[in-house]
Amino acid sequence: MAGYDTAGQIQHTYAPARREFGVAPVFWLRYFTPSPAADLFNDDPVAESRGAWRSGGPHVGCISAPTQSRLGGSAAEGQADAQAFAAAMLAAYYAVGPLDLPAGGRLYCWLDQEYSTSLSRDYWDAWANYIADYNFAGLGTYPLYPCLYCTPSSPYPNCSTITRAHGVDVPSAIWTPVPQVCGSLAHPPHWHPEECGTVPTKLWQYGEQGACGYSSNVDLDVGAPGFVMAYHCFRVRSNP
Amino acid sequence: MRIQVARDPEARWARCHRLTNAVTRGRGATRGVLAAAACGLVVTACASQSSAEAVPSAERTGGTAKALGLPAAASIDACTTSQLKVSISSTGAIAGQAGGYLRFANAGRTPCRMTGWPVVTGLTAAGTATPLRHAQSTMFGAWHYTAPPPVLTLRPGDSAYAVVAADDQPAGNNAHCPAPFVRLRVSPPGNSGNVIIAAWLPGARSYLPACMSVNGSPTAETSTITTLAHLAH
Repeated sequence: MAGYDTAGQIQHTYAPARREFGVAPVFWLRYFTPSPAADLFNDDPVAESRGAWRSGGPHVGCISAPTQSRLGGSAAEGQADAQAFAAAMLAAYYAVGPLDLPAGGRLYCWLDQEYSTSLSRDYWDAWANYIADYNFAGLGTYPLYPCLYCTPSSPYPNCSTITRAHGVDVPSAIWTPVPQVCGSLAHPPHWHPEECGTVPTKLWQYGEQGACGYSSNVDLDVGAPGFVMAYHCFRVRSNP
Repeated sequence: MRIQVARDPEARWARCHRLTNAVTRGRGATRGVLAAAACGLVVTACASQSSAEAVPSAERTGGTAKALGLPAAASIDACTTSQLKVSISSTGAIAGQAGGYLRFANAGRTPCRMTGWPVVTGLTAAGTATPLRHAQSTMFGAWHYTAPPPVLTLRPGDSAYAVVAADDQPAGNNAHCPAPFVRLRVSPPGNSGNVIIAAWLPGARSYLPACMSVNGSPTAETSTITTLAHLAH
């Protein structure tokens, strides 16, 4: 059950990716505000959703990559970044008619922590708490679940930070980048990503655009055995 | 693609980013021309970014340039190293890459033209030199190659950009990345002269990484010359 993450726009990415890898993705992971170095899904959610639909992988997961220096900062910075992220997801949800929350009611919301970035407890707790307690669209169902993209083997604090989290601040999943010999979307490698220990790794970025020099602007990702990433993404119900 | 850039304070680019996307990403020539006009840009020609749509003609290009009293782009000299101020901006890290945008500002008194690949070499503190490869696409900045590369005409004060990026984590059996690049030696396209700038990336809190790919090749790479509107920011 493999899919793509991309900092580009789905509508401009899916066709080159299809030519390069030959199969349709099951899901996409896209960047939302605040992510200063990426094209943003929430800038043109209708076209992006249309692209996801046409790609054959009508599921869009959500990630935010704030300016990395902020992740080692204060609770105020964490809350502000989470607030912007939640607002961007909500704006996309309202803008695209056939963009549905996951049927299971759990939309995984990823925070991008890069290898050389430190994650402070103040920042994480505030970020995660805001996401988890966000009353999305006034539904009263609290469907946003905080999750962390990180490299557990990094010497900078990541797993040690989330280990100390409590209650709703505990991430639901870890997504780890561990580049493999450049492979394909149709045949992802046997599951062996890095682990944090206390929080399960459920998503693995096994093929990286930069390391592999893919011509299309995608990384390749696969879910853990028994874990279906698409069930934790927005679902594009029909062609927008 | 050939684009003429009007005086371009970054704020104006930022305000106009979404409008100019209509130009640069091929959503329709009419909307694109309107957007460009609104931003003070002059699109003098445009190849498709990712589709076959919106490829204005060369005739339109010439007409627009003449209307502004500028010489045709082909008659404008290539920018030289000595007339450019080179710096790095918009630094950060995303999706396993750290990087920034090389900024080439025309500090001269006459317009000049830029197109193609800058020649960028990463220099470690120990003096090791590694040429940056030509990228096909970069996660950082959401850039991807288009053929032919854009031809930019820079008036005095205008800027062109190129992405520099590298994987920011060890791959394969490597526990660590090699020592990072602390400086970059940069030559504008078609120039033999160069400038050396610091490779510090404030937004990533690191120098430009020198990490290797799984197969042992350097991952540091550079894009072609482009506009800020073509890059995420």
